[in-house]
Amino acid sequence: MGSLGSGILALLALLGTPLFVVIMAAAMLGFYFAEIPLTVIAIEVYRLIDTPLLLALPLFTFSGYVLAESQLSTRLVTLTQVFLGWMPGGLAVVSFVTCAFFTAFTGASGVTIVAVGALLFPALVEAGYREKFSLGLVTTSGSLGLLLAPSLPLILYGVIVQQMDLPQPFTIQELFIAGILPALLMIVLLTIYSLWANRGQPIATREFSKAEAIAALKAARWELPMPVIVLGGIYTGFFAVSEAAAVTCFYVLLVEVFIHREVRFAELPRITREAMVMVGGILLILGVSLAFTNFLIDAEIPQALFEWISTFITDKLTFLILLNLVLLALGAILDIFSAIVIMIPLIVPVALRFGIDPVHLGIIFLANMQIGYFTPPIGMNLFIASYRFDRSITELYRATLPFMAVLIVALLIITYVPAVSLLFLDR
Amino acid sequence: AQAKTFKIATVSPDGLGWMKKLREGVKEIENRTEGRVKIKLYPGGVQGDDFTVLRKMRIGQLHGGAVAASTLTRFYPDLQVYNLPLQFRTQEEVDYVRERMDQRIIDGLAEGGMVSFSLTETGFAYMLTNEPVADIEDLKKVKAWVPEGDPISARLIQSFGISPIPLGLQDVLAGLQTGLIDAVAVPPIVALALQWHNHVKYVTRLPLLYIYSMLAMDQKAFNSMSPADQQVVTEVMNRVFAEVDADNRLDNRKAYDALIAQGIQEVEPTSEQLEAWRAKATQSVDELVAAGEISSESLTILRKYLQEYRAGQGN
Amino acid sequence: MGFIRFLHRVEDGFLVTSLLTMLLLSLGQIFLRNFFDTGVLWAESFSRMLVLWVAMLGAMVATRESHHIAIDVISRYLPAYAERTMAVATSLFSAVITGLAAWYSYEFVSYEYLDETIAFADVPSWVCAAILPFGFAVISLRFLTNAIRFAFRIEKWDH
Ligand code: NA
Ligand code: NA
Repeated sequence: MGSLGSGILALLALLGTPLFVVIMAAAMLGFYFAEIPLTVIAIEVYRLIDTPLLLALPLFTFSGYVLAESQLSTRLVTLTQVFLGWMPGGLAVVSFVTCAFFTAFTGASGVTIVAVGALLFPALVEAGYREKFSLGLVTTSGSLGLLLAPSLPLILYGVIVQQMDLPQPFTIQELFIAGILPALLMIVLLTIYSLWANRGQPIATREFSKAEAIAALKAARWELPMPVIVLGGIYTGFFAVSEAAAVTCFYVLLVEVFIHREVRFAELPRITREAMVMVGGILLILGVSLAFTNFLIDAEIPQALFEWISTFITDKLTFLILLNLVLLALGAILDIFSAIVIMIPLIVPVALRFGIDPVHLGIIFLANMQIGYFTPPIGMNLFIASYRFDRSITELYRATLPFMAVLIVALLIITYVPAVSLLFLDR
Repeated sequence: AQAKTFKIATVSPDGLGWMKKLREGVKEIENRTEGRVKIKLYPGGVQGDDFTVLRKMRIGQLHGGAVAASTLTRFYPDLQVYNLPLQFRTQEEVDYVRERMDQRIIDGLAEGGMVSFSLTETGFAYMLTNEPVADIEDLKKVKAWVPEGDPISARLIQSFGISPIPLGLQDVLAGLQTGLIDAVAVPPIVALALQWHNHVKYVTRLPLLYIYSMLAMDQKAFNSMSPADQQVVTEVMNRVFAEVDADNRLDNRKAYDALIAQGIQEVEPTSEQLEAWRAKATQSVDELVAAGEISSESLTILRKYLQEYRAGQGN
Repeated sequence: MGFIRFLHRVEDGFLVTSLLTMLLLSLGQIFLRNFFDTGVLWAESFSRMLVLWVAMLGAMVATRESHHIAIDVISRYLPAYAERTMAVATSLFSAVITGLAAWYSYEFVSYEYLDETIAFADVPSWVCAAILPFGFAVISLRFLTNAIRFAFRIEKWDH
């Protein structure tokens, strides 16, 4: 009965049933056979109220929509062409780095795609990158900074493992340092791929000109200080990390509506409405995913999966290969916080038996989760990008696949060369 | 009777010492009931926070939860009697009162539909600050963090006139580092686990209030076991949580010592300052009774035991 | 029809106001903390509730505009007649599932009401949660009218 239901559901999904309905129906089916009252669906969706980091989503999304209506992307293109014009792939590198930092500070809740990606996508296209490439770039970059401090999942991994009283303790600082090179490796490999993918494209490289540089800086004089203002505000204790979204929102409105006047005040209700419809669509998918995840958790399916693969493990190498496979799958299905809380206590003891350093393990774990965000068919970032850029989900599958391949190469290097994570540590 | 699986959740992460004890207890129960009572544990908050766990107990998805006592107020309001500010002065006072009063709380909860086992100490909350706080007036100079929606901190604010700086838990560590806040009121064990101790300079030697938790089971679920099985569960769980209670006491002592060893300075209020703190606390406790949040009967019993103990101590 | 348009305006208005409130609450906290060393205790809880409301209101509007994410890989290869049949089928299915969600959300809200749980300040949590059954009911109704529209080829029909 259960498999018949799943089959019908899969068919309905392929026929174009809204995804939130499909996920909710799957959760209902699961809970029904587990003899748990379906009221649990409502209880889980209500948990949107206490899911960390979600508060920033509406505000950053709105800021992203306002910026997308301004001429900022043009100013950004000019600026990178003037300063990085000599460097092939300049804007791509700028995009990777910006997304990575933004994610490190805001978490990988998809905010990066709607706030920064929405700005970078038109800029990349304007600078001459192919559309499919640009789409893949902003979608995959949405989780790029997961390994960089102060990303919340990184801290959560540290806190949980520290409480387990391991024979090889480590500090959060060590974990922060361990994440730097792997994140850099990903950015370098992605850059190499970007150069190769756009080798025939007419992306202009040009000489540096002082006059152009000054003009470009002047044009962007209001937007450029934004990161400094936000980070400065956090480091001086003026506001909290979680309040950065509201401050950004306020500053963006000030600059684009009242200083540049590129977004008319009368347009704001329409922009807000568009942004919030998108946020609603995404949040509802998140909410019903919480319910579906809860069905998996309640039935202890992740644990069973791990136990099952454990029977095939004979040595360190097979352990790592199977670990990557399981984590990629779980990364696509579970939300990252559930994945950490459920899987870490299971994995860490086994990993220690094979002599894997817990710091290295944390980096492997999060690198997998990062890729899970855009693993087809249900990586969350694919849906967010589909909504934001109004492209079909299948188009996004195609656009992100090459980037996924590159990041899997990076993942393999990170997994099988522990030095990438542990080089600067005395471990 | 038929085998049944009972599902118990907690926000506490897996791998902690007490979880190991609980898992051993669960195995013992399964063995001694010959597999009739199986218990599945869901640690790490994967089933949601304490309030979500209670919601899921209501619909029967879960059957129990190890939760903070303060979340069970609606089943027995008087369980807050231990959480009242500045009632206990020492851990010995806690032991004396709890030995005599715990059963009253457990019975009260049972009447409200919750079966509970040995109560477990989380610890005394102390004020950890970056400016010395000895006098109640000093509180006005610090930016004190309070967890949102937490009835106990709401009480602290009310009692001592703290102007609250509400922040999400995820902002507290960075907030202490950047000076966004400069005071937190938590048990030392919590401060240590969340790394907050690295960013405070002083601890006020004044146990503000006592925090505890317990394993609570839905009465209907509990009653579905045979009386013999119920007895096994009760016996094992009472033993496990009494051990956890003792362990936590020890861990809290160690945690407090670790704070001091790390160079955090103790601030000792003078006896006059202490009087001022206590007067404020008494006033707010009386207000709570007047507002009907807690019965005067329970409060009278608590005060009687405290007096009894202090008289015996020659205080 | 005029009345339905008015309701749409109200719906949009709530959506926009929710965001504005979130922004003002957050800025207000920063202001109070830095200039008066204090804060509003329930501000973040209120904002979190607004996140839930934005989720439901946004999804309601998205349904109205048939703007949900779907993995649509088969229907574009189908003949027009079959495509229409599929659209009716998926809409009806969605109406049933969201209808069930509305019913069980109602049950959840009634438990919150009976248990007298508090969301923040003195606001009971059933008031916050009430958006769930309401939102799912509206969404279900809209899927149903969509199904009827597709079945009878009605081009434009407010719902
Ligand atoms: Na979850
Ligand atoms: Na995920």
